[in-house]
Amino acid sequence: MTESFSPQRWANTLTLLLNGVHGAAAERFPVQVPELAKEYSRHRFPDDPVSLVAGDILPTFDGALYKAPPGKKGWGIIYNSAIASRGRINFTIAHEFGHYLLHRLRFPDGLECGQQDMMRWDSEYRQIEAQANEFAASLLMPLDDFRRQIDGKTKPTLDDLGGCAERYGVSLVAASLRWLQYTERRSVMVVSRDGYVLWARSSPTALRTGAYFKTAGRPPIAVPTRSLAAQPDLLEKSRGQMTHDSDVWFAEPCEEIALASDQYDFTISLLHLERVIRTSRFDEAEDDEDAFDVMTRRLTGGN
Amino acid sequence: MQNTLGEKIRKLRKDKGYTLDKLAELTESSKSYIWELENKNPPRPSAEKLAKIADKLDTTIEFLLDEGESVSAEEAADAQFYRQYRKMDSSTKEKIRRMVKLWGDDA
Ligand SMILES: [Zn+2]
Repeated sequence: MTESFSPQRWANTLTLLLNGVHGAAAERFPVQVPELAKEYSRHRFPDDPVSLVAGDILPTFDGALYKAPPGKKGWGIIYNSAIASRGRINFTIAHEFGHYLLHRLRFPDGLECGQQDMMRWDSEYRQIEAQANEFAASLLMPLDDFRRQIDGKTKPTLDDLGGCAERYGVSLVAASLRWLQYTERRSVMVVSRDGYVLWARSSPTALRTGAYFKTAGRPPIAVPTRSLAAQPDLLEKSRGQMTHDSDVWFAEPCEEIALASDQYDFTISLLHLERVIRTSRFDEAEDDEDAFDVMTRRLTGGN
Repeated sequence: MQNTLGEKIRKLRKDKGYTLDKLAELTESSKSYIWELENKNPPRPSAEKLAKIADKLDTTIEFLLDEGESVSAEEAADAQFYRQYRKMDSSTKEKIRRMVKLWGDDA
């Protein structure tokens, strides 16, 4: 049954379809989800299509998937067109389309997604919400294309990630989370407010090497006093960059790129750590000593 | 879902120009506790604590805890359709109802 497709499989199916239609043409991105949802569902599920995609100014609301009222066929995606960023609207519509593909049989009355504020985007989400988000991220930001913009070894700036957010019609946070899924680098994104961590996400290599923050179900974690996140007055035009010694964010040095969002009232800190971590402090000390010896010998004319 | 209690506290605190530290001090709470109240979903604070917060923010416990208007008879009739949407404000519900009525015009 197609309803048992995973979020990833649905996104791949649609990505192949869109690649076939548009190839490398400029109009491939951002994905026009309303048209895609209606046309695809009309062909694939003619008796049960997405027959309505409509937005209005709907305070306290983000998006929903509704069953059509009696006498009408299919499903409707309704979204709040007053959400501050177009990227979030696009993501919301893709998220609801994901609910249609993945969950409509299990939820015959439909689903409403409340205010998906970015605060909770990453945490404590029910499984269906996580699945709809996974579908939306994969559909809007296919990894093969994303890698062509920023390859797995590159250390992006927030502008680089912002460029991708623009390309895919999503928010900076959504684009950054997608990049964190595939990068080979050790990087961590921390979203904070009023000096405490709202949530954080690590790249797989950062996670494996112990660079992460766990926030769910734990007491609030204060951002380090020497971090940019704790010193908004150091930001210029809401942005800043700073190199930190050991024992600021982590026991090791890191580079912090920060952006304060007035709109959402939080600060994004992108932390880039060194690529390779040394096995122990003892080894590190030895390395330093060797280097010092070599330099001393050179300077003193020894061999 | 929405942490309305937290959002209200945060807004009132900002309107008064209080930092987290200030409100914590005024209500004999820790700073991280106030932050948690505003941003996460901790267990509802005790009535005593809430009374202190309401007092310092010049509001009432009722206002802080009010989760929106109660469900009217008409809305109850729609309960099946709107089952999960009680927290929406009434004008939003009304607009969605209208959009649903127009369903099919663009299909
Ligand atoms: Zn949802």
